[in-house]
Parts: sequence; C-alpha cells; structure tokens
Amino acid sequence: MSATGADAAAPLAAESPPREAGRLEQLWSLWRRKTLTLREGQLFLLLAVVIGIVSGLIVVCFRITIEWTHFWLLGSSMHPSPLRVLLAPTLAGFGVALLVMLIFKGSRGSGVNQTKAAVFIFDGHVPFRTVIGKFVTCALAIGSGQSLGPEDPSLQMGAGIASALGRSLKLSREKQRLIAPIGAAAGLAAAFNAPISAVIFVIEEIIGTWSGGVLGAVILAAISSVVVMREFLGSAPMFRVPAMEFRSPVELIGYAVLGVVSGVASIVFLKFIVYFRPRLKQLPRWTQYVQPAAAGLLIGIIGIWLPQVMGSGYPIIDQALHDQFLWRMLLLLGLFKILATGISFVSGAPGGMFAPTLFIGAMLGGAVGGVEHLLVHRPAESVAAFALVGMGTFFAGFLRVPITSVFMVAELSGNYSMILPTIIANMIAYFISRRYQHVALFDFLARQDGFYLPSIEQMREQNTLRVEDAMRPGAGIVLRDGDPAELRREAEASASAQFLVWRHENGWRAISQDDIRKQAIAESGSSSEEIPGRGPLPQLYPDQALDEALRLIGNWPVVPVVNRANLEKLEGVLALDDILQAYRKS
Amino acid sequence: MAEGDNPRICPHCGNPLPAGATQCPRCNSRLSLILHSRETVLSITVAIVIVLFFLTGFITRGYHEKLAAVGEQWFEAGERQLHAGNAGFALEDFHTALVYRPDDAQIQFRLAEALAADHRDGEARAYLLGLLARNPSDAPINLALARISATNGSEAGALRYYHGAVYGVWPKNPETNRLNARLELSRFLVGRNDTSIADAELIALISEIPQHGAELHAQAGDLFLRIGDAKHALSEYRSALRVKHPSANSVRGAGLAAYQLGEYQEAERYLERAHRLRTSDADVTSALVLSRLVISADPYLRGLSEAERRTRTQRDFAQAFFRLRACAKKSANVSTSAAPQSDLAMLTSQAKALQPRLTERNLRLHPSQVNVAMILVFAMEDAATKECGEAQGIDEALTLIGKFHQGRER
Repeated sequence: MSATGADAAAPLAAESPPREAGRLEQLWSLWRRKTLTLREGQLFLLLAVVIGIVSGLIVVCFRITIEWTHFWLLGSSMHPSPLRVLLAPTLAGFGVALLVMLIFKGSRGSGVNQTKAAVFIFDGHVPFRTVIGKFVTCALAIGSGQSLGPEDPSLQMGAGIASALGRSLKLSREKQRLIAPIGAAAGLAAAFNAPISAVIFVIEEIIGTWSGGVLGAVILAAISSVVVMREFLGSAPMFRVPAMEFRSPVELIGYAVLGVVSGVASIVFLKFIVYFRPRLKQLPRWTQYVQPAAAGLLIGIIGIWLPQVMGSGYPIIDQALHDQFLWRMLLLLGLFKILATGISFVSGAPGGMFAPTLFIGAMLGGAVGGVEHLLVHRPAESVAAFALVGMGTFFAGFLRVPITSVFMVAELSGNYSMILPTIIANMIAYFISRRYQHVALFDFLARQDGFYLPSIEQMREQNTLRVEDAMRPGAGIVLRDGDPAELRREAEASASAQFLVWRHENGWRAISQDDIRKQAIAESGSSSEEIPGRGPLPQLYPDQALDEALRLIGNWPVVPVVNRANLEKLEGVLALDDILQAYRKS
Repeated sequence: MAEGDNPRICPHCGNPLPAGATQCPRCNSRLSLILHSRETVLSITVAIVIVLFFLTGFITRGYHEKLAAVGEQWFEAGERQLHAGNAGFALEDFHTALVYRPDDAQIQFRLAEALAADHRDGEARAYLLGLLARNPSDAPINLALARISATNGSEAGALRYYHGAVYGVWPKNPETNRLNARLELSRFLVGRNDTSIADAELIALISEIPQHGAELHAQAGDLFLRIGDAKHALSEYRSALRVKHPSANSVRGAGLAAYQLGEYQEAERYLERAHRLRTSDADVTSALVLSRLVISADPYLRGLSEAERRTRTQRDFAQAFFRLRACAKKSANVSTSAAPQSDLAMLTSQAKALQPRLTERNLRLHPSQVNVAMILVFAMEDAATKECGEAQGIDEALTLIGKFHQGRER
C-alpha cells in the first residue's frame, strides 16, 4: 500500500472509521449526524454570531483596560500634572516598544492593513498571538496618552478571533479567507458602537466588493457584537449631539469651505506620514526600541499645554460638539492633534487612526464653524454642526472611505439631519485628497510593509469590461433556419467558416462549413434533412461582465450575444479573440 | 517509492504513522475524534463565551462603579467650587465629572449653571436645551433657561421658560419652588416695567402664598408697590406683619403703601414704627412728615369734634389763600400768560368773597360751609401748583387731602 500523506488525510479528516461500538453508540452517532451536523453555509452564519459575541466581549474588555490604564498612569483629571504627562507616555512607549519588538511582533501599526494582508495573502490567517499583543500594547499605548485610537486594533482583534475560530473548526480555505473580514466588522462595530458604518467600512476598505456570500455574515457579526457591547457599556451614541438642523441651502457654502479645509488638512497629515514613516523605519534597528518612547515624550511636551490632544480624545470631541471652545482653540487643537498623531503613528506605536481622525475633523470643523459664526452671525449651534460634519469630512479625506464617513457621522451621533452637508463636504475633501495624494493611506502603508495588496480605491473605480465592449456584429454569421438547401446556399456564399442558427426547440447552435459539406456528401444532393450543428451554445448578454463571458465561452469558436427580452434577436457575436482584444485595449 | 523509505505523517497531529497503518492512532482515538469534531469545538467555544460573558460582566461592573465614584468625586469638587463662587474652576470639575458620567443629567445641569455663572450663556443654553429635549417638563431646567433668556433680554423666551418652571415638575419642594419661580418671573416683569403682566402674575402668586409665608408676602408687597398697586401691596404687607417678629422692611412697605392709598393714620403708625426700627430713608421721612401734616390738617378726619373741624377749615383756608395770593403776586411779576392769571384772579375773588363767611359762628350755624370752603381750598392749591410749582409742607398736605377726598367722592 503506497498512500501519500495527503491521500491518508482525506479519510482521516472526513469520517470516523467503522469501529466496534454498542448499539446505543451507533444510534447516538446517527442522531448526531442527522441533527447536529451543520452544513458549512449554516455553520458560517452561526459562526458569524459567535464571532460577533466574542469580539463584542473582547472589545468591551479592551476599552475598559484602556480606561484603567489611563486612570493608573495619568489619573482621572482632565489636566494631569506635568510630570505625569511627560513620564507616562515616555515610559509606556518604551514598554510598548519592548513588547512589540520582542514578544508581539505582529502588533505594530493600526491593524487595518494587517487584516487586509491576512485576507489577500495569508488565507485569512491572523495569529492569535497578534490578538493578545494588540490588546496589551494598544491598551498601554493609548492609555498612556499616545495620540491613537482603539478602533483599528479592535478591528484586527475581531479578525484574529474569527480566524482562530475558523481554524479550530477546520473551515474550508475559501471560508477561512472570508471569516477574517467578518471578525473585523464585528470588532469595529463594537468599538464604534456603529454596526452600519463597520459593515460598510469592511466592504469599502477590506473586502472591496459587495459579495452576497459574505455580506449576511458580516452584518450578523456586526450586529451581534454591538448588541453585546451595548449590554455592557450602554446604548447611548458615542457622542451626545445637541439639537441642530440644516436650515437653508445657503449654509452649504460654509460646508463647502469646510470640505476644502479638511481636504487640505488631510493632505498635510498624509504627507507627514508618507514622509516620516519610511525614514524612521530605515533608522538602525535599536532606534525602534526608543522611537515610541521619544514619541511619547514629544506628545507629553505638547500635552503639558494641550492635554486634550493625548489619547483618543473622545471627551474633547464631545466638548467641541457642545460649543466649549473658541475657534482659535479648536484650530490649535486640530493642528496639534495632527502633529501628535503623526508622531505617535510613525514611531511604530500600536494604535488606530480612526479616533484621532474624528478628533481632528471635529476641531477643524468647529474652527470653520466658529469663523463662519463670527462672519455671518449664524446661530451658536452651527459650530456644533460644523464639528459634527467636520468629523466625517476629515475621515473621508484622510482615510479615503467616502461612503463610510457619511454613515459614520449619522450613526456615531444619532443625528440624521446633517446628511446633505456631510455628503457635500465629504466629497470635496475626498476629491482634494485624491488629487494631491494619489496613493491612499492604507495602500501606502501596505507597500511600505512590503505587501502589494489590491488597492480597494482603484478597484472601486475600475471600469468593468462588459460583453458589449468586446462583441462584434453578427452580420454574415447568422443563418436563417428553414430550408436546408437554402441554408447551404447562404453558407456557401459567405466567407465565414462558422455560422450560428437559431432553432426554437434547442436554442442557438453552431454550424461550420465542414458540417455543411459533410451533410451534403451524406445526402448526395438531397436537401431533405436538417443540418444538425453543435450546441446548444451558451448565450451571452451585452451587459454581462467580460470575465464572466470568458468563463462561459469554453471551447466554442463563437457565441451569440442576444437581447435579454428576445433571445432570438442577435445583438452580436463574441469569440475568444474579441475578449482578449478588449482586455488589451483597456 | 517503498513504504518504509519515507514514513507517512499524519496531517493533523504531525506524528509519523505506524508502518502499515492507514489511520493515525492518536488522531483516531475516540477522545481525539470527540475533541476535534466541530460540535465539540463549537460547544467549547460556547462554554468559553459564557465564561467570558460573566467575566466581562464582573469587569464591567467594577468599571462602572469606578467611573461613578470618580464622576461623583469631580462633581462634588465642582459643587464646592460653584458654592465658593469660582465658576471657572467649577466648570473644569464638572467637565471632568461628565467624562466619567456622560449621561448624568444632574452634572450636565450643574455644568450649564456653572457656564451661565461664568457668563458663557450660549454654551449653557446648548446644554440646557439638550436636557430639555429629553425632559421638557423639568422645572429646574426651564428655570435655568428662563434666567439665561432674562439675562439676554429675551422677554418671550423668559416668559415661556418661567412658565415652564412654574408649571413643570420639581424634584423637591414643588410648592416652594413654584412660588419662587413665579416670584422671580414677577420680579423680571417688574424690572422690565411690564406692569399689566406683572400685576397678573403677582395676583396669581399671592393666591398661592401660605399664611405663614411672611417673607414671600413682603416680597410680593414690594413688587406690588413698585408697579403702583398700593392696595395689593398694603394687603400683602399686612399679611407679612401678622407674624410675631415682622421684618422692618414689611413695616416700611406697609407705611408707604398706606400713604399711597391715603390711609394717613395707618401710614403714620407704620412709618413711625419703621423710623424706630431704623429703616428710615428719605421716602419714609417725607411720607411720615406729610402724613402727620395731613392728619393735622384734614377736617374730614373721622373722630374730630365739630369745633376742631371748623378750626381746621379756617386754618386750611387761610393757608391756601395765602399761597394763592403769594403765587398770584409772583405770577404777576413773571408770567405773561393770560389764562392762569385769570384763574388765579377768579379764585382770589372767590376766596375774598368767602373769607368773611368763614367765621366760627357762621360755620357752626352752616356746617355745609366747611365743604364749600374746602373745595375752594383744594382748587386754590391746585391752581397755585399749576402756576407756581409743586406745593411744599402744609400746602402739599392740603393737595393730598384734596386728591384723596375728591377720589373718595368720585
């Protein structure tokens, strides 16, 4: 017997061998198989719920750990003592660097890219060690005042939990690859208390396509995690937004200005990271042990005067939404938060960019609103409205997720009255950011880390080639079915080697000059019998994607492209050469 | 390849398979099969989830308790600062408290009050409106908003929110708080000289003041007095004075109210008492002097003997005639207008004609002459006031007697 390892694996993995067992055991086994064994699709949905619950629980613990760390290191005051402000992020930064360099090597960065890399490169594999590492190092970094947020790490932790569960359950490779984004959505949804935004972000940035196979599971996981999170931390939206409304279209001018300001600011922030991150990475390895500590020290120095820029900054956003700062202070906070977050991020300290992005957006938005209030004498609540819209606008410009940003503003605040200004300002910021920074942040970071991941932004905007782009007219190829002799005459008169014939009983069929000749010889001049041809042929429609056509065309030399409302009506024909030609041209 | 050359490896556990075996004995053991089945993994996962659930619950409870404690600590610090009048420091403390207890309406409310105390009305208003949206019938929120509106001079807003405070829900001492809110509203309206609405609010207020609420009665009396409703003012002061140790302010107010109503004897009584209680001011002194003059000059005063009434009539007539003549003389030197001169001349001739008839004997025989004489006295005083300026001393007293008497007759 010469079975390879793989050969042996199949029976081992599939079913248990027949063994000597009692009748009771056999009955149990039979019942178990019939009732308890789930098909993979069902298991996948059940697993999505379980992933959601576990991710929700982990994210709750993560947030609490960050808070405890903050209490422990910086105290409960909004204005800690200068000594604490200097020492806490510096020493914690050093500890974080040691952990990241020696124990949890996969815990650097925000987590979004790593999750994306897991999906596209490692078959959805996120090591569980990364989950633990992310939890510990991010709690320490964010809790000590590094200007980073807990959302992106939560996303990666969710993906890690999902991946671990998928591996334990020996899911197929395809499902393993899909399960990481499900966990990512669950983690992000729990961190943001915003299931819709989390689902859209995962679709928009990590998966890249609205795949029906995974969408249901992603939604289930996101909702489960949010339900769990709300059970423990309450159901209030992340920000308490005061009463505000969009009154008149004239106000859109102000929001358009906000879009421009946010677009420019996001370029500044992106350029800062693009310039400094690779340079710091190129420094000798030993410096990476001190970079987060140095970043912590710099942030501490800023924090002595502006403690608001330390940590995720959610309470400060809440204050900005309640008109607690003058426009100059808001502008100052926005600019220094860009600096502090840039320093934290490029130093390699683990932590996310979502919360700082929202902070910067809110501050810049509030500043623009404050100036507008002075110039146009709008009501005071307009400053809060600008801060709210600003969050989404900067998010759209910096992270390049325009759809997520719109939903996020509505979901985080529980306020849907500002959707229109948000859309307009977001689009302006997004287009400015695209115009002056061609590569999106996550794509850039991935390339720096040596991963050439598909750019979701480019994928999103790529033109899908369709059958109508490649097909050619069917003139001279289609023969009228009816009298075989006449069909033969028509074929002989044509220069084409292949013909298509529509037959009511069995659809489109292919007939070649050879078929016609052979039939003629067999009949010896009689015209009584129909030429059988080959088929039925697969039929294509003009709106079908060309890669789908490529799969359907098989070995057929030419296939008909027909009208969806009338299958007899030939819109054109398509051959393999036509498809290749279209791809070459695109 | 021969079997023995390359030992086969179990794909699950990685251990080499024994020669001739088609299945891994480790992985194929009953225990291993049970442990690696999907059902088992799922069951273990569910068990872990349950444990994790309880663990998270335990951690979360501790976390919430800590947050509540820290929030409370900062809230109390804020309260201390606010009571000490340091609104700026209180603000910081309340902000910090709110970080730990973001949904605590009490902290938000106190923060709004601190903001208002720090003259940051816009921010305070934003917080309060948010709170009001959640609980529109909350009386303290309405009152705080009313105060902000009142400070900003928005009468409509102040009225709306003050009424919200009056008719809203008070968590503690609803009756007292409602009364105080209405009193504050009345004070706001009086301050804006909106006398008709203020009078209505004050009348509504006094119906709710309990009998023993001397201080409230006194405050209501003050407000009535300020809008010129002396009748209600005196009534309120009288209520305030029913207590064992009435306030000096109530005595003073009662005196002034009685004086305005022409109740000079009562006014004299209260004003003298106020004088003794050292709450005397220019108003009280002037009112007391005038009250005394009125009492000494008024021939219509109840309880006077007929002889005294006649004597007062003669004296008042002589005083008024004297003033008229002095005024006519002065007027003849200065004035160029003809009409007043003719009035003064007419009254002088009437007085000259009446004077011989105002003898003791004649007045005793014809008591109705007292009225005739006094009507002329009032007319002379009025004409002299019109022509030569406000009356002083006894002439002012006579003018007041005239007004009071004519008003009573009407």
